[in-house]
Amino acid sequence: MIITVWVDDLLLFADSEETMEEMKKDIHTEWETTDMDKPTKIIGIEITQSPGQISISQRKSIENILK
Amino acid sequence: MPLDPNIKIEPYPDRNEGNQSNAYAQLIGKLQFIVNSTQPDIMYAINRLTSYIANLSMQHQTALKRVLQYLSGTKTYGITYKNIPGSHISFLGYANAAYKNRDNNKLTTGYVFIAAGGAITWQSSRQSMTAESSTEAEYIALWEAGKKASWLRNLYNKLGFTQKEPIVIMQDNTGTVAIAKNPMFYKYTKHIDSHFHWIREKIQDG
Repeated sequence: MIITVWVDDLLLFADSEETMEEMKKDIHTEWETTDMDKPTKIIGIEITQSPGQISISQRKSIENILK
Repeated sequence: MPLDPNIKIEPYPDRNEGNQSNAYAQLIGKLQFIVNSTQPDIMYAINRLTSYIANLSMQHQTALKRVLQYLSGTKTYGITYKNIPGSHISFLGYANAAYKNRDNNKLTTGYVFIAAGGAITWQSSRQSMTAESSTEAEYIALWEAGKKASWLRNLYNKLGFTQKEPIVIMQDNTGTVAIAKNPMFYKYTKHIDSHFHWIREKIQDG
C-alpha cells in the first residue's frame, strides 16, 4: 500500500478492497478524516478512471487562468 | 505551437527599464503548476518566459498570450496511463537539448520519462553551464536525464518494483551516444568535465 500526503489531502493506494478498507479504518481511528471515495480531483488535478486506465487533466484550472 | 520557433526571445533591449509586472509573474506561477502537473507540452515555452519576469518587454507578453491561446485549445487534454502488461513496472527516458534560440549561449535541456503509456516526469531547463558544441549540449542533457533516471530507479525500487534491467534513455545525437559509450580520448571533447562521464560509468554498469 502507498499513501501520498499533500498538506491535509491524502491519496491511498492498495492492491485489494480489503487492504483499502483496513487502511481507511486505521487512519480514521487515529485522525479525523473524511472519506472522499474514489478520487476525482486532487490539488486542482482532475482524475478520471475507467477500467484499465487513469487520466489526469486540469481543464478547470486552465479555464480559471484564462478568465 | 505554444511558442513561435521563428521568434528569438531575448532580454528586454533597454535594460534600465525595470518594468516589474506582478500580474505576469503570478500568471507564470500558475502556469508552472499546470506545466508540472499535466501539461508538459508548454514547459519549454513557460520556462523561456519565466526567465524574463524581472524585466518584461512587449515581446514576452505577446508570447505569453500565444501560450494562453494554445492552452485554450488544449485545455481538455491530459495524460492517460494505461494498464499495458509490464509497462508500469519500468520506465523509459528521452533526452534532448535545444541549441536554437539560446540566450547567453546557455542551452536548454529537455527530458521526459514514460511509464504505463504516459509521461510520468519531465523537465525543460536552462543548462547551468555553457556548451561548446551541440554534441556537448546533448551530452549534458543526457547526464541530467541520467540523474533523474537514477532517482526514479530508487523510487521504483522503494515502491517494490525492483529494476533489474538497464534503464533505457533515448538520445538522438550520434556524437553524444559515441562519447557516452566510448571512453576513448576525444580531441574536441577533452574539456568536458569528468563528472559528466558519470553517465559513462552508468552505461557500463547497465
